[in-house]
Amino acid sequence: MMAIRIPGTKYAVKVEKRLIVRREIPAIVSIASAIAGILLGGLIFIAVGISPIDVYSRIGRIAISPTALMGAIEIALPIMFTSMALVLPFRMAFYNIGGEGQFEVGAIAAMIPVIFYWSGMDLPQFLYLPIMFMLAFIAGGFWGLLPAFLRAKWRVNEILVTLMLNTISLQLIWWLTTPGGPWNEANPAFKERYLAYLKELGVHLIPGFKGTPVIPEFARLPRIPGTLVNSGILVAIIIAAILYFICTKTLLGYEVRVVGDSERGAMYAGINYLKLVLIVMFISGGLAGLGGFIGITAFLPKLSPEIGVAGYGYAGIIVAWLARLNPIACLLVSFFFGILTKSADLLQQELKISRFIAVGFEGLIFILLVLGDFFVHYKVRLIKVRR
Amino acid sequence: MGEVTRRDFLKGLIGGLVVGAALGLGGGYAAAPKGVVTETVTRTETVTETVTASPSPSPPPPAKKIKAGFIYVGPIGDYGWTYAHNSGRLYVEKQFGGTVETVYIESVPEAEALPKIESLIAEGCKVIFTTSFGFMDPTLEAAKKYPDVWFWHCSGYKRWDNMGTYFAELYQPYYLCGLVAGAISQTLKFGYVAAYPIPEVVRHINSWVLGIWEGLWRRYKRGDLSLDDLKKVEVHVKWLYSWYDPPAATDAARSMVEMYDADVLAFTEDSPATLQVAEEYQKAGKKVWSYSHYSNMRDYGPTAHLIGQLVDWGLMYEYILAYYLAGVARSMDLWWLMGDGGDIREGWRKGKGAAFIWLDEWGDLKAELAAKGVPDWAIDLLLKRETLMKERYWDPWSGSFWAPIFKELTGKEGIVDREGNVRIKPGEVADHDLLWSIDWFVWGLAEPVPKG
Amino acid sequence: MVELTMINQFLIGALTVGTIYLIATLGEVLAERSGIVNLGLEGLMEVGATVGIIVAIFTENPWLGFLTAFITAAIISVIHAFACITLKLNQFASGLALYIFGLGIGITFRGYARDVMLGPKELMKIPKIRLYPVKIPLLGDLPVIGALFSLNVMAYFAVILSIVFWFILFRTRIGLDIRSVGENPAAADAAGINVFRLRYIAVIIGGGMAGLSGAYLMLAHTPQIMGAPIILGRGWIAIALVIFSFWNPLRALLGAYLFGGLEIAYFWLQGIEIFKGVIPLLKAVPHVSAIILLTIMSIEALRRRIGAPEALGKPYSRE
Repeated sequence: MMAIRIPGTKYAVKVEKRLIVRREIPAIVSIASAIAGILLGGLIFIAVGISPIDVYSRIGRIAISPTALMGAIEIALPIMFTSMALVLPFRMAFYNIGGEGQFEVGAIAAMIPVIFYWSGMDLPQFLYLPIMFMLAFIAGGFWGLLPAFLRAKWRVNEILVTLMLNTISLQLIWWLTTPGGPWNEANPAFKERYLAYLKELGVHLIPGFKGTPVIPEFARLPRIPGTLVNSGILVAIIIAAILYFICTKTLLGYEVRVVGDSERGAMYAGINYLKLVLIVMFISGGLAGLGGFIGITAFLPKLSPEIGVAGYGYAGIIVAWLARLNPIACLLVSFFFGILTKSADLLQQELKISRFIAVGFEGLIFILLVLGDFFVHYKVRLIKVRR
Repeated sequence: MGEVTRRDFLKGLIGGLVVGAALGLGGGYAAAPKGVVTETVTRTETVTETVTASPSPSPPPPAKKIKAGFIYVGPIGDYGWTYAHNSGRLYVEKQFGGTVETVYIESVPEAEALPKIESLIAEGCKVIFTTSFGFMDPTLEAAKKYPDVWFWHCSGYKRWDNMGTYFAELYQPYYLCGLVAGAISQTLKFGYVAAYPIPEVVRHINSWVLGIWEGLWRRYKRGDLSLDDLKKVEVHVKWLYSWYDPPAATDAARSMVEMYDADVLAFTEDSPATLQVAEEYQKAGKKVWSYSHYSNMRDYGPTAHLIGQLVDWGLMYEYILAYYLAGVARSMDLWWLMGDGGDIREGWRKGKGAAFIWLDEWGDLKAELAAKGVPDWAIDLLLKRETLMKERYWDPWSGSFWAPIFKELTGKEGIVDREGNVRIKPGEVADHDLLWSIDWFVWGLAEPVPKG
Repeated sequence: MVELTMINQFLIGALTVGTIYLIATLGEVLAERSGIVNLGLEGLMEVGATVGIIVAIFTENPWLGFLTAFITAAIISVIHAFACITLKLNQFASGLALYIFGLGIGITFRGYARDVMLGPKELMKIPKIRLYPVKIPLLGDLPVIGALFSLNVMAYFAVILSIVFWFILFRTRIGLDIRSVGENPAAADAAGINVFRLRYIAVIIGGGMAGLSGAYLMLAHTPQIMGAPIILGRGWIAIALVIFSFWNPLRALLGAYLFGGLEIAYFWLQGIEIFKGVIPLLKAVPHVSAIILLTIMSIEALRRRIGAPEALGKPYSRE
């Protein structure tokens, strides 16, 4: 289709559109991009005066230690949810950048039963985790509905609405947990039970700090016995399987694909865009909300505004793209990100370099991945030209 | 796990420093008995004596190497909290030579604290410092899980058998900053750029305002101001809801100069933005003053810079690690005030423990402040108050001291809040718990503490 | 009169902060008019801020800082142009990649500069190199509208730029070409317009403007060198403002100053009695109003059948 001659040689670069994209090509391109990113990223290290070989050999060393690998899975756990959340909306070209806000709202909702518990209202203990799980999903889902509705009804740009909602949900957490706020741990409503609990711990509560009371032991997600991995990983695997099924085997998955190819075409095919986008965003927000559930029940046993500092929602965007919107791949790429984060920590510990180098590095890999997309759709060959 | 009283604390402090010094000089020492979690301070002194007074006749065993891990909440590249902690880390690494190895992870989100603590433990860290309030509960979890690792949490209140807390308190330096503000202000309007409405910040604002009141009060007594002038005093606070947002701090600082004609600006934000605003006004011919906060920021505004507050966490880390190395580590609540941790009589202005900043390279404190328009009596008072506070003879949070001042201002005796209620009666002194959980403003603040 | 000078000062603040948004928004308007979305503004602004302040300090000349910030960001946006125009890849993905990349390297090198390259001597130069407001005699003293005549040079320059951008886009041949490329590239191509070249130019200049905006924030508003982010979400607001302005440089002026005002108003309103209980929520006001304004604008755009350039976000190929 197009051939560009390399000056001074007998060769030319020929670019051809692939007529059939074989299934393994996207995976090969993803891996090649990541490797190219790692090699090019060496330039950043050279620029700040560090030997990239040293860096990579250190990363290589950590990548094979089992504790480090398990740690990487744990760090990746919330990102697994926020990235899987984006699979459906991104497939239909609905750019939900609000994973962060849906994550936070999920965390808020998951906290509700705990707040009731400390105020003296009991449920059977085994019910807490399932109820928190469901509330997180529902709340995240509802937080996702507003941008979906605005987009479907009036074509309001969803990127911006979801982005703005992220700040709003964070301020909501502030308002709830700030000293004097309704969910603050020093709220007199928690006086009896929470103070007794703290007393048992030997802790003397000092009011005036941000944050809710901690989640009681029975309402926390435990680790898988004998490992350093939280049992949330099992939930993530089940959800990935369900999501994969939805994408490939159901009408919903089919409609999402049709809309993703062409919104107008979908209209002619009789697909109700409003209904579809509402369903998809409910699922998407719900999954991100589950990330929030994991965030507070597996790691930080309470709700506090800093839950939003981690940027899981934003990391999810990169992961979802890297995984080419495949839910199973999301798990693997999140894990890769976990290793990257662990490596960044390691680099700080051993080489004392800035955390933001890791961010630049991620960006570079992401850029190459985007560029690599070209090779998914086109074949590039070197050919000999005859005069 | 009881609190350490000041007297005990000072004893322990000296003991710890001696241990540290012994370590630094000798490089080795006899291994101290293990499992002394509930030891008292007296025990510390005993150990100290054995180490210093009776050196072991046999050659000392090689110093065991320990690894200490630090979890930071922000980037070490800021100009505030994390930067200061990181300087402390570098200091102990230097101070203990090869004995202590340190590692750190910066910009750790709260939710990731537990996995990151565990990764430090997996790397062999035996002492972990977590330097943000939000790390409190994850640190407690980790302390329960790993009983053979020592945890130190900065700024929190939950402790465990192997988890202590530490904090270097700045309310006294803030008081001194306020004193200078009260002495130098011409408009009698003051502004504070504040991060979050939490007790730490509220306490600092209050102490700063008390300092202002003393400065103004002296001027009134000297006849420079009338009582009517004092009735016009206003202190305004703008909340950023962020520890770090330089552009927003700039806007907040500017809004207070423009709205209220404030001419002294203090701040709790991890950048020199507020000082830069003051410098900008100075360049434009308007006298607006500000401070350094947490690190030396004077280079950003040499004309507008008065003094500042600074914490040298290094001394605190040295103290804690010395306890650990001596084998007498125990769960404590360290709450360091001005003068603690350093040589109590000398060197404070170079930043020992919590201090107000005055570096020798800036020249003579008196000459410089006088050149900026701070009257001599105020400089003398500043130095006097500073010495008294370091020696523990005086504290700004004493009801008796304020009784006559607020009597004339408000008609009530004691420390009076902004609504006019007496909060600390004559004869009372604000205790640790009151200051830790303070949620009200003292007299003179224009707006109340925002509630959720 | 106290009230009048206060309004004056409020406006100066709003216009100064609004200029950050204005410069970035203008660049994005240009790029989107040609059919390419660039979501990487935040990252490019961070890079521009870094380059701007470091060059300005070393050359002791803010204008060189602005120039190099523009050029650096423009060069980085070549990646975006190449990905979206030549390789016809997903513009959103490419923009997000650029955002993360720019954020990372911008902050890394600022931190590196502070730790390795700069000492107190260099920091002392900051007051010398930064831009100060210039009050125009007489006009600057007028009540309220005096604010318009008491700004820094770059703020005036940004106003001129928005007029120039408007003039180019709507009153010149090349502007017509850019707009037609954004509306219907196939027709433009058939008419002999070089679609690829115009899109490249628009994206590169647009990206350069983001760098300029970052340098403006550094050199005219908050000049600081630290290894920590400084744009803190302002790039995303600039993208929102493009839609608010209906892709019109003159309306961008209005939107940018409105948002500059909202940002400042958060601090000015804190002192007012009725807002005292809800300060945490007050901080979300610019974001809530952005959503509301976007909705209103989108409804309006649907009704009047004006809106995004038809080919926005879609790659063009000749096949």
